Amino acid sequence: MKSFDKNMVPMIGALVIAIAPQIPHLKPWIVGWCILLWGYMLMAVKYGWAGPGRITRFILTVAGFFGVAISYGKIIGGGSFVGLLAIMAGLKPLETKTHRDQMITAFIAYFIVITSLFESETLAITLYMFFSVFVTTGVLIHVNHPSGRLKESAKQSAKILLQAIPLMLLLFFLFPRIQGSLWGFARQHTATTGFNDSLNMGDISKLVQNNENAFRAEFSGDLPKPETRYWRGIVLWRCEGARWHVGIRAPQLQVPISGAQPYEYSVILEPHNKKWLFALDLPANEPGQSQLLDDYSLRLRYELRHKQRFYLKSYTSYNTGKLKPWERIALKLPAQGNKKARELAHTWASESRSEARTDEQIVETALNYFKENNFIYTLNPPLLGSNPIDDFLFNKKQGFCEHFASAFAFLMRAAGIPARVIGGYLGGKTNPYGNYILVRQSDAHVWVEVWLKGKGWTRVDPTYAVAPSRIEQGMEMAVPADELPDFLSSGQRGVFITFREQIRNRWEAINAQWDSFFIGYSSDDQKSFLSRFGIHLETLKGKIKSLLAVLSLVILSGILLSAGLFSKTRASRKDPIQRIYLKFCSKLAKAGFPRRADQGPRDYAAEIGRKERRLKERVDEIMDVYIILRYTRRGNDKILNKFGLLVNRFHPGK
Amino acid sequence: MKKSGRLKIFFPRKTSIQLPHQLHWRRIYILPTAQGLLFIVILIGMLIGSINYSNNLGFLLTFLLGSMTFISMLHAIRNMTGIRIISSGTEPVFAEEAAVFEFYVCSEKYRRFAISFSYKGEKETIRDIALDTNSHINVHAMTQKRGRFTPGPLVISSRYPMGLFRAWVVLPIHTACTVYPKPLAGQLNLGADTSSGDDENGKEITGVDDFKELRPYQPGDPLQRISWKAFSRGLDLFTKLFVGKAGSAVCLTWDSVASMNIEKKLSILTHGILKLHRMNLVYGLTLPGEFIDQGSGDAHKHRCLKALAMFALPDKKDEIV
Amino acid sequence: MMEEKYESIVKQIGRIILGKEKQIRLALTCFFARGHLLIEDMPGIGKTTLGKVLSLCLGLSFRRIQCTSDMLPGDILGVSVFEQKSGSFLFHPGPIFTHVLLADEINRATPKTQSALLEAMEEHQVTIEGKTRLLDDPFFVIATQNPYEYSGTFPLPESQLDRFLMRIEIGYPGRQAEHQLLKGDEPKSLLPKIKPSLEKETVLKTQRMISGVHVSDAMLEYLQDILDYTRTSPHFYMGLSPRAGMALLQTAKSWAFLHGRDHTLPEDLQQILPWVIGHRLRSKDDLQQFSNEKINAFIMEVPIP
Repeated sequence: MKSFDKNMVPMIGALVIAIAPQIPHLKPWIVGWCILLWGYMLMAVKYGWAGPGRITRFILTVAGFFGVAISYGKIIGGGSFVGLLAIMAGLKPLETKTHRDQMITAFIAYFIVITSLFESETLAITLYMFFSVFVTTGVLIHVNHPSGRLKESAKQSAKILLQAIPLMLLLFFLFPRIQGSLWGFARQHTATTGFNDSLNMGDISKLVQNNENAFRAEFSGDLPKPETRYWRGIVLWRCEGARWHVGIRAPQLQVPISGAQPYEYSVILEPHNKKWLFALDLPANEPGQSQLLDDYSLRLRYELRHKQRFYLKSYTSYNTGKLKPWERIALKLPAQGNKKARELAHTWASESRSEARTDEQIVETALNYFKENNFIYTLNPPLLGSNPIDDFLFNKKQGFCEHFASAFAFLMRAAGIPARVIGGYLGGKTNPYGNYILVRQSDAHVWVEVWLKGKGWTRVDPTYAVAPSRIEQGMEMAVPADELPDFLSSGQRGVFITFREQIRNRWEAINAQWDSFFIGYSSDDQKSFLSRFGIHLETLKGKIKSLLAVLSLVILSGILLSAGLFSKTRASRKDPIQRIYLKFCSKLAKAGFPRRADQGPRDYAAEIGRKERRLKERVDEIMDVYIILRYTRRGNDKILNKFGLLVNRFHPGK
Repeated sequence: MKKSGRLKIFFPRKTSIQLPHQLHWRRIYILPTAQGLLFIVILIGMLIGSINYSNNLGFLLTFLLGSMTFISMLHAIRNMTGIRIISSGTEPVFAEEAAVFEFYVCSEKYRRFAISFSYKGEKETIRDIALDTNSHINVHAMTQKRGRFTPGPLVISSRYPMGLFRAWVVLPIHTACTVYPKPLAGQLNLGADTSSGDDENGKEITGVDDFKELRPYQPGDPLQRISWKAFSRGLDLFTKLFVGKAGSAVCLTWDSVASMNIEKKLSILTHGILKLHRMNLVYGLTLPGEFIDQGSGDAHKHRCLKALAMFALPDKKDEIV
Repeated sequence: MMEEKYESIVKQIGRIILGKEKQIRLALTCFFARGHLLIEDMPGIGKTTLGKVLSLCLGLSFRRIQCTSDMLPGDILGVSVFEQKSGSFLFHPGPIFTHVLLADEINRATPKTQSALLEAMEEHQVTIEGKTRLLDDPFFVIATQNPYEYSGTFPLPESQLDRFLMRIEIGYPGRQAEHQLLKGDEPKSLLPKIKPSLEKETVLKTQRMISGVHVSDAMLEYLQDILDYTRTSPHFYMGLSPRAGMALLQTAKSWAFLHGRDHTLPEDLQQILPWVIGHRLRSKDDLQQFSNEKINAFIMEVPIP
């Protein structure tokens, strides 16, 4: 009963700390359930109430499981797993009388910690994980040390945790990784933001309200210029009036583009549950498990569930050459609708044909149309009517990038110029503390590519025509201040604000480091890491080598650790005389003259002298020096050095 | 026979060890506990989950916990290594009581936590061992019958720090405890010892019967013998000396008890001795083949009880600690 | 230099007390450590002779008292007698006013007399009729008692035993020594031939020098380990007192000095240990004192740090 009382508060504490990051993901009634049960147990400890009986516990268990089944709709899979764990965490303290139960409570806490890691992968949650493991381990130690104080247990926990870190890192970097998942099933994430297969008017203006990170691009050399920071992701081929759709899956690219001075960088992509991979316009390699398609978009072979890093190469100046036959679909438009727009395009086309102008001039004309007709770039465009392109072009004249892009692409196709809508991001934030660009959902952007003779596919951003500041300075400058989401409106830039900005930059830079070292660590990284040591994972030999390397490193670190743990006493470390003397004694012991623990130096020397006359003189000399050092006032460093030398040179065996 | 021969290969050092003894890590066994195995299963589950979702933080936590498990194993061994068992001692007990074996244990270099001491199948004593001072640990073992009780080997074990591993050492320490017969109230025919003849020739011994003289008090004299009357008259403390004539003392003999059952007889005699001792009487004990002259006091009592304990058992007096 | 002198004294005494070199050395060690000596043995073994020879060799005055149960403290300390001639009290110093005092069969004296003597030993002074008189320096008491005879005796209580620095037994002479003894002259007849090897001044100086013998921290640690051992081991009824620790230290210093060293070694402590702690410890089992062999076995359990 006593240990029940003593361990209750720490145990509940560990559970609370473990479950705290999960609270937003839990159903409110489960949080209430935990608070109620834990509160009851704490009161029971304080006022000496009896814990609930077996039947009560059974009923509660059944009720809890039913509750999860009903509220999550199923008992296995999805968020219900965390819910079940929380139910168990609530119940477990009710039956912690035995040592076994208390240990299992700690195990549940560990398990809850790992589930929270599947929800979020930030540095903050990682640091919290260490804290939570520290607390839970402390409780586990406390449970196993009945007479101990909590402070001691905490100290021991910290010690074990710190000692485990080198080994953990070793395992982390060397444990063989595989790409993709074991069985193909992966847990579905709750709603994530990002691009979809299709683009509707208003999608992007909704997306830019989101402050979440999309990805981070780290450059080894110079950053690309702001106006070239177009992060290409999705190519939309099929036009359905106001709605654009990916349409077809482009074939795989046969010949990647080449050029001068590629940008080499890596993208650490936040999980978005899609197969998009965003790359600087235009990518030229296929990182990891991805495919470079004929429309220069990168497609992953799996849906991205976890932060991952991709090594990319891109050229910002390029020429894609001839229009391929399959790309003729870039001229297709819906059969009907948006008559006025079609007419406008046709006039441009016929004008240009009659004046023998190039397609480039039509593009110019279209852009001028946007420029000259008082179009307004706004986050809150009005709703559009049944012919949305016409409505936008000739009536409302207010829109966000997707309005401009889809209207522009529509006009181009109507004018007979192959055009496609590109979804991606524009710009991104640089950080003075790191050589990377942070791209957020708020940087989402849509633009157009048209195919021009002699130039190939060429990027055209109609938004630039309306609001050049969007491209040059970012959205904060392009959109009226009152329309901006809170996180983007800078307000007055006081000293405090800049200070806060600095701190945020630093924190982001640290996060970037963290992401690139841990979160983004993939099998590719592992391969290149190991190949530096001459281990190539592709071959069987390499695999065996890596396994042996892991094993030997683990054993080595074990030996090092135990050497540290079982090291000589502090006293003998402090006392060089005794250390040397013990060395001397062990040399003699190996030669067959062990010293009894209670044998003084003179007796010992005398005994050896009796047994082995040949050693007598040398042993006597060393022993005299030892006695001077240890038992008289006359010892000094010089004699100590001499003693060390004598013992080192002493070889009784010879 | 064959089996024991094979066992000897596995446990070659079953011979008893001498105290003081220092635990060496090579003699420490270590295995995961049931909870430890469960935890390892949980870790494997976590690992599979992390691989499946290729979740790097999952890997990080799994490897952290795995490394901590490994480190805790080293700590468990470290917690046991170097414990010194300095000496053991015990006091006689009566049959069917728990014999208490006292061990003096000392820890060098660092403190030891939650070390359990027990004899096989007996209650565990779990204690911390402080640094550089001798800790005194009582290990209990139930006794069944009178005579010389030797418990099995001492088991020192520990689950510290995380309870995932149990490290243990089996020490065949030679300890033995004298177990007196269980006292049993019964009819005793107390015969006065008449063999020494008439009173005049009777040897004078310090006894309880007749007052002889007052002697200045010396520390250690029994309090009930102090002459408080003299003290109250303003004199110094004096001790009353009594003499008993040897002839008038009580002698317990084998025939004092009517019962035919030897064990029962011994139990009744034990009870008798305890009673006589409490009454501060002078008594002797005669058993077949054993004669203890009359006397009194603690040492005498123990001598008599020991004689009863060892009666008709193979003589192993020398071995008794 | 001191070592040689010491060896010559040992030799000189050894000529009279045959085959008891160790006991002679111990007695001298005890004397130079300013302690008092208790000899426990049967009569006729040479206790008195040892005391006498010792005092002669050291050039000191010697008195002997035979303790009996009718002896009064005044018989040892001295009395003031009214002198009619001068009309005043005149102090007649007792036998205690000497350098070496042999108290034979101390356990025959009454506790009151015993305690008077022991108090004087401890304080190096006596108080008679309100007047404090200092005793001679050096002052060395050799007390003897016969442990095998109980009737009519008052065994020294534990607390009083502690006042003796050392307790030794002399034991029967060896066969050869006894042969010599039986054959040769009565050894006591050699007594007058003894010439003092030291002067009083030298003795005092030696005693002062012994206090200065170096005891290193390692030594002190070893000593403390031994004290701790007796306090925690279940063999002993009670551990050694701090006074016993002081006694051990003093004796070890003296032993080291007499062997020509200005520092103590663990061996010094081991040599003198049984004689210094033998009478201070009792077995837990039967409350009896231990034999020297057993004590030596115990020392072996304490490792030298």
